[in-house]
Amino acid sequence: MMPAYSFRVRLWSGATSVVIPILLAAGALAATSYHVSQRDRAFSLKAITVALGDVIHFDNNDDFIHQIYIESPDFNFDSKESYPGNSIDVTFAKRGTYFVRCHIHPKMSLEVTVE
Amino acid sequence: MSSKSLQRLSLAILMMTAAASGPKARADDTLYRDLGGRATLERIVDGAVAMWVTDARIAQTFDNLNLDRFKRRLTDQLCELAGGPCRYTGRNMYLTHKGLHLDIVEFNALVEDLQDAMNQVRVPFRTQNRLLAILAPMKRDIVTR
Repeated sequence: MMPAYSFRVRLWSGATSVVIPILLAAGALAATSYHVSQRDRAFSLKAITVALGDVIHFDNNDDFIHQIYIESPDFNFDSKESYPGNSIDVTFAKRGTYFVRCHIHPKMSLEVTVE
Repeated sequence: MSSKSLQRLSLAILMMTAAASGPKARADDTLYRDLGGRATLERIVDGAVAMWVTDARIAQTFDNLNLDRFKRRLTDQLCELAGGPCRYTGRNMYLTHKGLHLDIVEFNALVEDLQDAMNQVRVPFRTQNRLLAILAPMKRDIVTR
């Protein structure tokens, strides 16, 4: 006969094997989207804090071409040129602090903190 | 008549004649060669940009702009317009300038400084005018205010 505690362990183990993926999936689904505007050769924000896995949409609401790049030891990104009306999506999949910049307009800078 | 007044008069005449005739396709690279090729065009652009960023009439236009990228694009454009073996890949003049809201004073400043830059590298007056005649019709797309 199987001891009671062993049955409880198996039940708990089985439950966690189901629940954890669901929680992970729920966490993935809960990723938040943010919009940062590019207008008048500047970002609409100076800094933003997001959660791991969140997405920032960089919307070109300007009359000028933009692009964005990130240079860091952990995360590098260098987009193509983005024309007015277009958007660049960036998923932040690593924790840290990053500076988003534009090759075309060197004074544009956005500090992104990923928690 | 002052040198600047002469430049403006010269530009006005060029604009009228160019507007009347419209832009024409160039089948040869004579102007490109007369200008001195790409190396001289780069010197002209370097000189013009150096003046534009310090010219109080238009310096603000160049604030927060990657000047190296701008110089490459402008050199490509002038090279292509002069019949040289280059390809300008930027947007058209209206889309490029509409957000700048330039007026005629700013446009004249751009042209005058460009002429001074060509003088600096000793481009003959007649050759300057041939290039300016190609550029002049762009005024209607560049001046939006």
